[in-house]
Amino acid sequence: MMVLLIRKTTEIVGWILLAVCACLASDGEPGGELNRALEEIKSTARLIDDRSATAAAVQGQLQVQAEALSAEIRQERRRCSAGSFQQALQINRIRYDLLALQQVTGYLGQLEERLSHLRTAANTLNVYRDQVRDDRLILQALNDLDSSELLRQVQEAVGEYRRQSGAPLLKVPAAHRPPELEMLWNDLVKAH
Amino acid sequence: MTGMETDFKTDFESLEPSDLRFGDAESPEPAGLPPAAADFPEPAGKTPAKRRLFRPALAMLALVGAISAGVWLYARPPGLAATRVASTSPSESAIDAASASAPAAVAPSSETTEDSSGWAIKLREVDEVRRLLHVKKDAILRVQQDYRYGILELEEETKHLLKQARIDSLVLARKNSEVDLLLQNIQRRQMYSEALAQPLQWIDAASEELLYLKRRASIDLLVAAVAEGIDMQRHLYDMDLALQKFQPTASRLAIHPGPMTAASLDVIAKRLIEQSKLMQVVPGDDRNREIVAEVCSGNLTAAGELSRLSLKGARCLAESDAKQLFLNRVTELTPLAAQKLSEWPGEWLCLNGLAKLQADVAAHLFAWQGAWISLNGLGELSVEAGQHVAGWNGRQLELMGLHSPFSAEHLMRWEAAGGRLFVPDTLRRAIDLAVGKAPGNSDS
Repeated sequence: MMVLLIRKTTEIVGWILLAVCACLASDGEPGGELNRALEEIKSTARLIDDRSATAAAVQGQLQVQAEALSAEIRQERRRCSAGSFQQALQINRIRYDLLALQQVTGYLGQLEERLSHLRTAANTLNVYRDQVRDDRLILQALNDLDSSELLRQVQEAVGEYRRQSGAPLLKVPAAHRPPELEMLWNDLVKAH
Repeated sequence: MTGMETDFKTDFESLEPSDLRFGDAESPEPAGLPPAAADFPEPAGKTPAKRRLFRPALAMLALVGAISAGVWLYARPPGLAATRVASTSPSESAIDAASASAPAAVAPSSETTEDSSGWAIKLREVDEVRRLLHVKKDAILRVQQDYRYGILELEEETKHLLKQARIDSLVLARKNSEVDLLLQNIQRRQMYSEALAQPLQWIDAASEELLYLKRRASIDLLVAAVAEGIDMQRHLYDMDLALQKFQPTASRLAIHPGPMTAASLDVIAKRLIEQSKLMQVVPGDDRNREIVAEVCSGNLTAAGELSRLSLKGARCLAESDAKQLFLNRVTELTPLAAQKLSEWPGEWLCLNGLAKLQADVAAHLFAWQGAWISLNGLGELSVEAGQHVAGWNGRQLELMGLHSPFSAEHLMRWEAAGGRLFVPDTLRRAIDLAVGKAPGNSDS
């Protein structure tokens, strides 16, 4: 029994030492850093995907609102025979709809900008991921590669994109002015 | 939208599991126990020797677990911790809140649910006030319509009086006290009718502003969870203010009619004198006026003798509670009189004296909610008039004088919708042939 116990204890201690050594060894190896970089890229990309999905969902709902408002403005325009912008402003429903459309269009513009940034971020991360995988393959084959510059770039990008994906999708008041009411009216009139 | 979403997807799913495990030691999960651990003696062993061995073994196992956990914590990738922090950041909570309002929502937090239910109540309050405003608007429109009809009724009466008394100048008209009283009444009704435009305008403006405030808040509610700087409290404040401001109270809807808004008595008199000159005296008008006076006092026994239906006569008949009206001597019906008559809540309307039915008269007549109309004096029914028959909700229509099937198609459509149509045999055969029925199978 004692022999068995000693044998098992030795075996367990062996496993522990193996695990510790493996960890310590991997910590210093470039392969380990590349794997960690891949993990970072993966989790950041998920954040960006989630954020993009949220932005796209909100964008979809706002587009529905914008279309409904535009349709109502056109309908009121026909009903009240409002030809000019000044005539249109005299009709409460059209004036308020234009104001609401201005609000929605302003948000849609901001969202489009954010979606564009998120798209760029997702593409950049895909490129970095490919580069990291390339470096890892070379490292596997040659056991030697200086990836420090790539890792620095990945860290920088990941940090930046994490900050970006944590920021609000919209800001009020927006940095850019929403379209003028008259411009919105003209676009609606031109479309029909 | 879908395409856009597809663009955003990073293709990490394409990475094989082996790609993410470059070295075994890199696995983020703690290493499992070696299979040999299964060889440990069962704790169920009952001998003291076994129990002595079991305790150190357990201690060893705990030690191994602790060391493994320590090693794993030391060696785990730093990004994992960052990811977990990020997942509880305010912006992530904000996404949850946005999702709660979005159709494809994750389960909302209790706070979000409270917020949204509070907003739902507020938006319902706005809807309720708008509903009240619309009810008031409908009531005012009805009153305004009554005033307008009343003005026309008084004008008709005044013109008749002017014709009868041969009054053809303003001076004479103003000297006649009966005419002067009628003129004053017309002016008063005009003032009230025009003054009613004020509360109507106020109601429209209030309703539109409330709708806008609701829409503006709804749009911001849609994006509030993913936006910075949106002041929902301000929306609440604005809505509360508007809800108070736009309650349709008596003082807010009060009208202030003034003589400035109505035409002067002279202007009204001049116009009516000119119109009365063009009027033709119809024999029996005096008798008609007598009958109308009786009808208006509630006695309908002589209503069947009416040869002409005045606006006043139509109003009094429409206000009666008779179930059947036999107006078979009426040969002409004005659209206005038809409109008023269509408000009568009875069941059977006989107008067999009408030889022609104008489309605008038909429009009002077939908007009547009663069950049975007899128009047996009609020789023809124009397509325009027939179109209104097709949409009538009544059950029975008699057109036994009809010989020209101009609008047979509309009549067939009305009959196909469940109406009982009575037409002469020749027309019945034609209709039955058109719908493919065997002759003799028809109801009539």
